[in-house]
Amino acid sequence: MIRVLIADDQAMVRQGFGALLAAQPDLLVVGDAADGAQAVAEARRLDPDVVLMDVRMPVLDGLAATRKLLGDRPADRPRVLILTTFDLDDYVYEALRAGASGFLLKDAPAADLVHAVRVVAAGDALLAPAVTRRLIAEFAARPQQRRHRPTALAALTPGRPRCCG
Amino acid sequence: MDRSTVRRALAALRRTVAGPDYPPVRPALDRLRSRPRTAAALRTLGLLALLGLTLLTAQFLLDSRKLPVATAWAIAILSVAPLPLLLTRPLLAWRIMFVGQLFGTFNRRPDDDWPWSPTQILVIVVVLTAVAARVDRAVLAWVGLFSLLPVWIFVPPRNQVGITLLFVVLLLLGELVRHNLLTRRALAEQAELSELEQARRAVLEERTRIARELHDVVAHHMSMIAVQAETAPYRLSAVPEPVRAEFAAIADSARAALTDMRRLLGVLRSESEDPRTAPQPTLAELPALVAAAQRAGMAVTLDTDIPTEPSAPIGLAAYRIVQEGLANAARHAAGAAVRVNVRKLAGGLAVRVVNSGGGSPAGPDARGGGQGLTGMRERAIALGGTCVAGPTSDGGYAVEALLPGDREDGTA
Repeated sequence: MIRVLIADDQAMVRQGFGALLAAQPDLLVVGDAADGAQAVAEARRLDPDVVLMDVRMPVLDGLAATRKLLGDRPADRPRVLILTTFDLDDYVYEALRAGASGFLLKDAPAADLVHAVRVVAAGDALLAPAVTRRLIAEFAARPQQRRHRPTALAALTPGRPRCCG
Repeated sequence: MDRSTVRRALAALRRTVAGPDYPPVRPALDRLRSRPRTAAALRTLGLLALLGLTLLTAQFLLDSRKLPVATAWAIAILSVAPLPLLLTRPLLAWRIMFVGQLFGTFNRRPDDDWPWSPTQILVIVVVLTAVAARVDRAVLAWVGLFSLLPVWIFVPPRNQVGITLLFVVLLLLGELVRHNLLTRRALAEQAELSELEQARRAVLEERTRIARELHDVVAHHMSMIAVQAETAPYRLSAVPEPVRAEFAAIADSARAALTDMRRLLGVLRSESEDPRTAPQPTLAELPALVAAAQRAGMAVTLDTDIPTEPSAPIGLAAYRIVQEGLANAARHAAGAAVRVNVRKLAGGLAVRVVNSGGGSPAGPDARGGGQGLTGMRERAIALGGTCVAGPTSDGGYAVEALLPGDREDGTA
């Protein structure tokens, strides 16, 4: 059984996702929170497997709450799945840096959302397809030398390699 | 020589001889007009000086040229006449001076270094310099040529080169002054233009910001619709299959609209701005805003009477206008008492931020359209409302906005 906590400032989202997840035989919604601070407190109290975290929330936003929640927990619990209206790059980077395991848009089809919760609970990561595509583009645009460079060689040529550029 | 060059030269010749005059020197005349007493004194003094000069010239012409009285006076008047015209009719002044150059040589002694009276020499020097400072280069070339003709005809050969050189130097000097003035005027115009451009850009940036916030609000509503439609079959019991399909279609439409909206927001989003991580404010957060201002040391009182939260764009605009109004009061009237009024009227929502007089710097730029005021106005206009800001009778400052009520009939 995967235990889920839902954090969103909109009651409609909490109810909707709550009903959707509760309808799955292997998922259990253990609680919800209307702001980031409450989300952190509830997660510590209820110890869920997965926290669905909105970004824009009053008091403490979802990114700060994720940072706070995962910062003082060396173990892999809980997993945080960011669920937001906008797939802004800044949100994505900040979420991944804070230790979130997934990034999904709120308007994702129900099946995708349920699937994401299971993937994240299993310890894997999952990003919205559009976000993944942009991350790949970003990665591909980086200079090649950053990738796969033996450390011994790197020590010899600290700058940009000239001969084989 | 090119044909167009000839045509240009001929056009300049026509202008020199019979063309319209150059405009008067505005700044000098305006300065005089703003000080009528100085102007009157100067006019009297100038008239006396002209009279004296005419008298001296006539006397000189009578004594040393032995001219008949009438001729002497005529030439004297002709010699002095260009001076009062210099500021208002530069080309006419030069034309009169040129005629004077011809007639002023009557009865000259062949061994004179200058064929003209001392007064006339002075007038020639002054007029040449002044005209060169006003006219175009092509016209100036003709002016120079015409002015030099009498020199080559009447001046004794030993002095011709010297006087020619003097004239050329004077003309060049005038031209230099003109060039300098033109450059300075161009610079001033440029500065004015870039100021205008800056103001326009500020308005555009403000509009973009407003558009961004409004679209943001819409996107959140859209997202709500998607979630609601997507989860409806799970929240409601026994949803029949056709209704389930209907909900799925609504969710799909909402998703499609959101995709477009995200693209639009990507266009509107500025690079400098950090992405928001707090929800867009509503009127419900007004007390918190006022409390924050009070904590910052402002004497703010809030007076609201809102039975129901207006639609998101209206609430957001009202919140932002109060926010800007408070910031404005803090900037320009630190320490003054501020009253915030938000009331529901028949026509919509009235927002008023008034500070009493007595705060420190409420002066110079309180009147001008700062970025804040621009933003408030643009916000109100975007919703079909109005926003006015200005000083009050008791020395304070008021921002008043009227935001239209929510239209439910969809006739907007």
